[in-house]
Parts: sequence; C-alpha cells; structure tokens
Amino acid sequence: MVSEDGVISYANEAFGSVFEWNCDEVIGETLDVVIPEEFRTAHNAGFSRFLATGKPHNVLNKALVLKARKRSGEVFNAEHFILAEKKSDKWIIAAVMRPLDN
Amino acid sequence: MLNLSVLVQKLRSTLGKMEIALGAIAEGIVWTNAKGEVEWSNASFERMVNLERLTGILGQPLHEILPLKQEGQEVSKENHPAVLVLEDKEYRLPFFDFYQEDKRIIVEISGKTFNSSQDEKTAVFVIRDVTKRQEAERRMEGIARFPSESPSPILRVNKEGKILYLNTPAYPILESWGCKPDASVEGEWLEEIREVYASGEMKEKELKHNDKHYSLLIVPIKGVDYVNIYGYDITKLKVLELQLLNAQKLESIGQLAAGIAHEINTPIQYVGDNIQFFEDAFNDIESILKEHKELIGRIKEKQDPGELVESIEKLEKDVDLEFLIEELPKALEQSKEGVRRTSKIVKSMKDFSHPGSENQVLSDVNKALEVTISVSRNEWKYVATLETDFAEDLPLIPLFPDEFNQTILNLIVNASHAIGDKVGDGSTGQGVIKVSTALKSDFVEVRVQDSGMGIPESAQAKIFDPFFTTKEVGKGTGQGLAISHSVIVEQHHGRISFETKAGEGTTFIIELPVEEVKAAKKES
Repeated sequence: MVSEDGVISYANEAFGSVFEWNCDEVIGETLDVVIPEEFRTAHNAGFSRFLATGKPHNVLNKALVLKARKRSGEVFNAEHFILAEKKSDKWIIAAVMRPLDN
Repeated sequence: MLNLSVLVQKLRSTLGKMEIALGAIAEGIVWTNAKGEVEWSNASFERMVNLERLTGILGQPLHEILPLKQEGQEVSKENHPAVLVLEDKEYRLPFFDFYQEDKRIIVEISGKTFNSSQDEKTAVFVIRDVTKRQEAERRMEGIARFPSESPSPILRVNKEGKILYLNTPAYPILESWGCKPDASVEGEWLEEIREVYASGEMKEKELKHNDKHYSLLIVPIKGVDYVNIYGYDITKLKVLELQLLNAQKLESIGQLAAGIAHEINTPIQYVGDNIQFFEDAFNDIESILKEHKELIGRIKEKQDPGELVESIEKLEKDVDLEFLIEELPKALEQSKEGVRRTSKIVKSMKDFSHPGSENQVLSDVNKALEVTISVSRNEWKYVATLETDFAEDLPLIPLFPDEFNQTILNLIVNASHAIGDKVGDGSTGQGVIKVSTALKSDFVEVRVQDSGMGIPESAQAKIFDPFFTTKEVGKGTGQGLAISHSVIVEQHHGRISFETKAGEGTTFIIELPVEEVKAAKKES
C-alpha cells in the first residue's frame, strides 16, 4: 500500500519474500525501489498526474503484466492489480502482485 | 517530516501538471535512455503507435516500436533517428513514412540528447504528424507551378509598373513593351494598368508583336497593389476575322450581283429594242431612198417619172416616214442614255469592290456614298425613295474606302429591310431613306435614316453584337452591324450610334475623324 506521496506504507509478508525485503525496512521507501529503472520516470509522471486529476491512465482495476524489481535489482514479470480509493480526502493506493513464471 | 511531505506534495503537483500538459500536445513526445529504450511517452505518442504505454511502450527500444520508411525504403536500425540522435549524428531528411495499420502517415521527427543530472544520457524526441501539411504543401507547389505551366502569357505588375511575375510565354509581351523583366512598364500600358487599378474594373486590350496578335486582359485584384494580366494568342482569330470580313463582302457582292444584273438588263433591253427599231427603220428608209435615186435618175435622163412620184409618196406613207423622222432621234437619245446608265452601274461596281485597302486614303465621302447608293439601287428602289442631302464643304478625309463602302451598304440594306417590314412589297406605298452628310468641327457626320419600324427596346443594347439578328433563319447572319461597328470604331477611330423611335424609323449616325488618328493618341 502506498500513501499519497508515493511512499510505501504497508507491505505483507508475501511481498517481503518475493521482493526480498524486510517488511518494516521497505516501509518509508518510495515505489521506485520496486520499479525497474526504465519505468521510474513514467511512473512518477503518471502517479503525479493521477493525484492531480483523479484520473488514472488505464492502470486501475485490471490485471496488468508489468516488470517488477527485487531488492537485488533482479527484474521479473508479475501480474499487477492496482486499486485506489479516496478516504477522508486522501488517496489510498494498493497493489496486489502475483509473480509470473517466465 | 512535515516539511518533506509538503515538499513532495508540491513536487507531485508540478509533475502532475507537466504530465497533463505534455499529454495535451498533439505531437508525440518520447524520452529514451542511452540505450534507446523508452522511459516516458505522452498520450499522443500512444495513439500514434496504437500501443499502451505501460504494456507496449515503456522499456521498448524506440526504433522497434516506431518502424519507419523513407523514400520507399525501410529505415534500418542504424539509420533510425532514435539511434542516430543518441550517437549525435545528423540525419538528412526529417520526414518519414510511418504505417498505422494500413494507413500511412508522414511524420517529422526531431530529437535531442542531453545529459541528466546523474550524467546519464537521455534523448527526447518530438514526432509530428505532418501528413496534412505535406499534402497541403504539395498541392500548393502544384498550384504555384500553375502559371508557369500555362502556354498563354501571364504577368503580374504592380501599380508602379514593376514586373512582379511573368511566365515564359509572356516574354514577347515584354519585348513589345520594350521592357526588361526586372524593370518597369512605361507609357501607354502603364496608363492602362493604373486605370484598371484605380477603377477596379478589368479591361481588355490588344497587342501586336512580330506576327502575333494577343488579347491581354488586365485584371485588378482586391486588397493588393498589383494587377494580373492574362494573355491569349488571337492571331488565328484575327485571320478568321479578316476571312469573315471578306466572306461578308463576297456575300453582299453576290447579293448585289442579282440586283445589278437586273439593273443592267433593263437599259440593255431597250437599247436592244431600239437597235431593232433602227434596223427596221433603216431598211424602210433605204427602200425609199432607192425610189428617190430612181426618180433622180429619170429626171437627169429627162425621162418621164410616170407613177414613180405616186409610188414614192405611197411608200413614205406605208412606212410612216414622218413618224420615223420624229422617233428615231428620240430612240437614239434613249439608247445613249441606256448605255450611259449601264456604264455608270459598271463603274460603280468597279469603284465599290476593289480589293481591301491596306492604308487609309484621303477620300470624298459624298462620292463614296453616291457609289454605294448606286450599287445598291435594286435593294431599295422597290420599297423606298432615296433622298440625299450632302454637305458641300466636306474635306477629303482618311478612309479605308472598301470597308467604309461596305458599312454604308450594310446600313442602306438594313434600312430598306426595315421599311420593307412596314410597307411590304412597296406596291401600296413606299418609305423614305435619307442619306446626309455634314461637317462638324473635327469630324464628318454621315446619317442614314429610314422610315421603318424602328429598333425594339429589347434589341437596342445588342444591336452591334456579333451574330445578333432579328431576322428569320436564312435571312442574314447578324454580322453586318457588328462588322460595321468594328470598321468604324476600330479601323477608322470613329463613332457609330443610332436614334430610333418605334413605328417611325431609325437613324444611324456615323462620325469619322477628319484628321488621321495616330494609334498612340487613340481614345476608345
């Protein structure tokens, strides 16, 4: 789960094992750590625009196969499911990721 | 922590706005990393390549998702702008063909590299769909070539006479003006151009150069300080005009021939009859003289005349000698008159139809009118009487005699037709044709008046138009007045007009300048 400023606010155990993080270590980091380098610019821009407009760019509520990054830097494919909800004027964004065997 | 959060919010806000702004641009914008993989693209680019950013564009090499063709050939990886730009290489032509499914669009690609803060090379590309613009440019080029492709002269001249544009066929025109292509028009033509520019009305003017005749149309264009001149080669047309003039002349001569034959026939008839009379009379007189000779012989021989005297007196009574003595001189006179008349008609014919005149000749207008009246007698004598009222103080004036006679003939024939419409065959009454001349300061006025039906209002404006006629099919082609107009106005620099009153008649008025009018001073 991610807060409005793009910082990870929660990660479950499964996340920790797949992405090779300690759950409490990853909280407070930006999403950049789980996103491969080449996608970071686009992600930041898109994320910011979403916050500004409230309109996601075809990203929410559907299965997306995206590349994800482990702590080690290893890149793998995972099926993402991203949700966003506004609670008391603040966005709560969550993603469920299922690693895919290449 | 609070400050950081606010800062992040601000940054996010700015970033969000930039993303929105870049997404709103029509051009496709793409960033790649040093390897040429797309790091970011805007919505327009997504639409261009018909791929989703997340799934299809990001991380992909730009040269793969944007396959290009140029001049019919596929652009290879090494020559792809995505690669060339990163290598800091230039590419020759920024226009490429890109195929969206089956649809081809033309794109203009420009790219630039820059080193980001981490010293990593990044390239940004702007991809613009210029299909419509290219098509428009091609059309414009085609249109721009248009005047140069014309086989007829086209020029553009500003109001000071400077030549702004001319195509190749316009060079003879410039030659005729004595003007160089990079210079200005002067003199008469500059006047005309200025006049058109000032009045806002187009004007047509003819120009002759070497053996070619041109009609130039000077056209004012709204809102600019130049005129366009469109030329057309009318050399052939002029030849046809001349042929038409000659044909018309032949036609009227043919028309007259029948009438003239008739005219000549009448006097020849009674000259013939009189000669017969002479022959018979001569035979009779000869036989009387024979008797007289016999009588003289006997008297000389002192012989008895016997019944000879009685015989002679009887013979004289039988042949009616008294009558012969009285009539023969009359018949002689009549025959002489007949011969005179025939000679006059023949001479008029000769005077009327000598070949077309190259130059103007100082001529006696009254005499020319007389000749034409004489030649056309058979046309009018049944339906009208012809009166003349010639001024005696007319000077000799420059005329093209043949064409002038032709014109008067047209007017007289028209007059007699107009009267014919009114009086039928003339058996119940005749009209009047009046031909008069007068000297008016610097021109000679000739009037041909008829007592016919007049010209109806509906026809008045068109009366000098070529091919306009109120006659039935087969009776006249409507060329007469058009040609007459051309002869008087263009050839003689005169004026022709008419006055008409319905039911009462028409008068055609011709004004001919006394002085020869030089072309440069022409006012038309």
